[in-house]
Amino acid sequence: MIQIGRFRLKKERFILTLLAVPFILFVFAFSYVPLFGWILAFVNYKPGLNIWDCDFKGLFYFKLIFQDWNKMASVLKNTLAMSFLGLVCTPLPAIFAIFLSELPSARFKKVVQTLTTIPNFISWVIIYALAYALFSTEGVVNQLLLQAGVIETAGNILGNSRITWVFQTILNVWKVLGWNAIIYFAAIAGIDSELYDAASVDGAGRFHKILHITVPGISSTFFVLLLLQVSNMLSLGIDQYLAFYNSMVADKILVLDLYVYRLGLITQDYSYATAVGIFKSLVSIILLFSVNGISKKLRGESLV
Amino acid sequence: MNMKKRWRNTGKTFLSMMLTAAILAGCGASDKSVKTSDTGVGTESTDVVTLNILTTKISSNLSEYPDTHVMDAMADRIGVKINLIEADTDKYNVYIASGDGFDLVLTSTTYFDQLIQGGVVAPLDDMLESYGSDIAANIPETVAFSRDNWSNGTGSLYFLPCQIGVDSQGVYQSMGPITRWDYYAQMGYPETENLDEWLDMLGSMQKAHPETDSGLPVYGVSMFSDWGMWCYKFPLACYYGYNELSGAATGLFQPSTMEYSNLLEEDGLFWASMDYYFKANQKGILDPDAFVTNFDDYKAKASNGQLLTGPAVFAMGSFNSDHFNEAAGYEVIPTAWANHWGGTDCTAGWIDKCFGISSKSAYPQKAMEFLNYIYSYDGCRELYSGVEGVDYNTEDGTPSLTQESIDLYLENGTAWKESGLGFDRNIVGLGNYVIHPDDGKTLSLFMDPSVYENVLTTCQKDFSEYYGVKYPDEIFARYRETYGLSDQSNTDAFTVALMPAAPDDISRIEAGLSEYALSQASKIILAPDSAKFEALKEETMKEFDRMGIQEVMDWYGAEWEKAKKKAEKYS
Repeated sequence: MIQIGRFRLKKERFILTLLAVPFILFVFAFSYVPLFGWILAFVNYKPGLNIWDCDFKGLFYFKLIFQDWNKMASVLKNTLAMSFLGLVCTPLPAIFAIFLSELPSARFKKVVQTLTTIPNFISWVIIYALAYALFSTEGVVNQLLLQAGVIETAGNILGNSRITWVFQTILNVWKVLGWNAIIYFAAIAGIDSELYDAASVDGAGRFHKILHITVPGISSTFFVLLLLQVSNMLSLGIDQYLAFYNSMVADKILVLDLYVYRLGLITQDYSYATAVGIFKSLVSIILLFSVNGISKKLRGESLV
Repeated sequence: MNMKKRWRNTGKTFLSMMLTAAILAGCGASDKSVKTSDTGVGTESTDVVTLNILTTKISSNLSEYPDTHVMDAMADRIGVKINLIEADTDKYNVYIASGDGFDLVLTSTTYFDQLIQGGVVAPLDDMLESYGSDIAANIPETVAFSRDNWSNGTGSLYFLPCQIGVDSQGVYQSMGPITRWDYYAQMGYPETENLDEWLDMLGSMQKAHPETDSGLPVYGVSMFSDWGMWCYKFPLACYYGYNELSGAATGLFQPSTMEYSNLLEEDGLFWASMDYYFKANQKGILDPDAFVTNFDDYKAKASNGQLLTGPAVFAMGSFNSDHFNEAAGYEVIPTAWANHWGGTDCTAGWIDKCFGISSKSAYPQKAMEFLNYIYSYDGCRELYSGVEGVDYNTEDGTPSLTQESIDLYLENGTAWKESGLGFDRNIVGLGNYVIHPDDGKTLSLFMDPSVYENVLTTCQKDFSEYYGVKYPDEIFARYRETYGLSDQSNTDAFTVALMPAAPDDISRIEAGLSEYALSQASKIILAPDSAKFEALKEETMKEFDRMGIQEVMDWYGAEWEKAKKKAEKYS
């Protein structure tokens, strides 16, 4: 036994606790210490100056968020629309993982899994270059359609604001499908194989086994990820939308993170950008606890 | 507990302690830092030191090819090599916030006050006396100006701008009405009276050459979308005789009259650009991908010969260097209606690229010696023109480039970049057109008029022959005289340098205005007819008014007048 103050721990438990220390420190250093930076939202921060030497501005930057409500409403509409489309697509990685696991050839499965995971590691700048090569008026897709006589004039998908939300969602699904499916492959692998054997004995076919064993087996994983995604609805990131931003789609592609980047970070208005970050965190926490509560009531399971 | 288990547990404990130690070490400060100093003039190593220069992205050849014989020559002379830290804005600000990791910072007037107040940069006065004899002798006006205006009221010297001295366009104009010289010649060198006729000429050119030799479509006019408002500001700024106020999103001025102008005002440059692109679209010569093309793709199109005009020679990809032995190339055409770029008085230097020495530099003395070197005539000659006896030779007191150096310059390829010749102008104190007092030649021998005829491409030779001049830029000087066109030589460098950075509230309005203008641009340019164009203009101007354009214009207008008055002291 090891005595630390009032606590007495078995030696083995102490060693296990010690193993967790680096990770606790990691979380503390990279998730809690940066919260100190929230102070920037209350002062007029300029890089190079000590925070305590900056002018105190109170809630000025929070009020600024809602000053141009027309613009903010449009930005929130884009953000929520694309988040919603993202939520609609949440089952796709699970469906993909289920179908792929049903394939008999292990080698083919690995090839497909690898090929679908690779896009996750390609930067959005490169993806834009690929999209330009494919979808610009001189791009491969337009040229093929023109040659086949399907269209008479080349279309401009990258500049078509009517399909921006859907197009961006499709691109994102293509990029992350394989990567997001990994967790479902793990969940499927964790399902007791005896359940499948028992179902086979009972005469269940492949579809029934999926429906009554695989789907329930991964449903808790699915709902945890769904809850986390709902809580992150306002955080769509910058890279994708910055790469695909242009004057023709500006009204539809300007999401909250990009708006903050263009109006806050480009003009080095870090205090404003921090205030929006805090606002987003608060909304995320509210959303998380709301959907968590709903899940608890409906399914009897929850994150916290 | 058996021995195996005990070893396993000991291993676990050791591993966890190592991980903890590693993370704690990562979180703590490095113990590698050498001494820290405020002005720190003290004993320093006589070995060659590498100074880290923090800068925003300048896409310097130095980043790609840092080890050159020119850099070695500098190291032999002053014991200094340099390493550029090219950072994006966020990374740059992180460096600035920490004040660590760099010896020199290349910064703009916007940062001056906060860098001084935060103690990020050191005062240079003491070191100037000890190690800055060339600075004191060669740029006394700039030093005095910097002390007066760039010291946050302290009267000390903190910042020195690069590229001090008169600017010029040199051999050829790089901005203006650009087109394919070979096609222009085939059309019989048509004269144009205005921008509309210029667009008509481009239309005829596109009809004559609808495809490149490899079958790619050719466009009269195109743009790139990833440089924000750039394509609605700079391509026509030269034509109409504007220049931008450093760091301002919408502030412009006219060098010929030194009057302030706003990009987005009703008769401003933005609307001139809208009109230009709208007409191009109406004539069917606007690239259908103009709004979705980024700069790299734009350059690729130009390199393929798919574009008939562009904003500047540097934006036209590698076409000119790929065809330097042919009469094909992009050239600025002299016209009776388009003003000229260049010729700016840079007595106050490039105010968006000013050197300061970090107060945490381990080598402040070496940093000062480096600054002194880049503001010395001999140092600049070496950086621009290379090593005497290797890259150029001096006979009877007159330096001249070797044929090998001229060939490298002409080819403008990898070998040129690897040579280190024509050092990055952002890192050199005196301009490349400044005259060396000892020999009467420009510091960059490549920019000496006597060399111009030797560095012409086939296309430029053809151009010069047609206009009856020795090199292309000569004809533009004649056009200025004949047609009363202007370049930027009337710029009052001190007025421009004295314009303060816009305060946060004005910057915020400007950012909103630019964002809105950008989103409206495609609708306006692609308007089906003039009536719709005018309706969209009215709608956009109304929104500009609502967003506070008048407030922005009032602020700039008032500060501009104040700057002009203050600048009288230095003119």
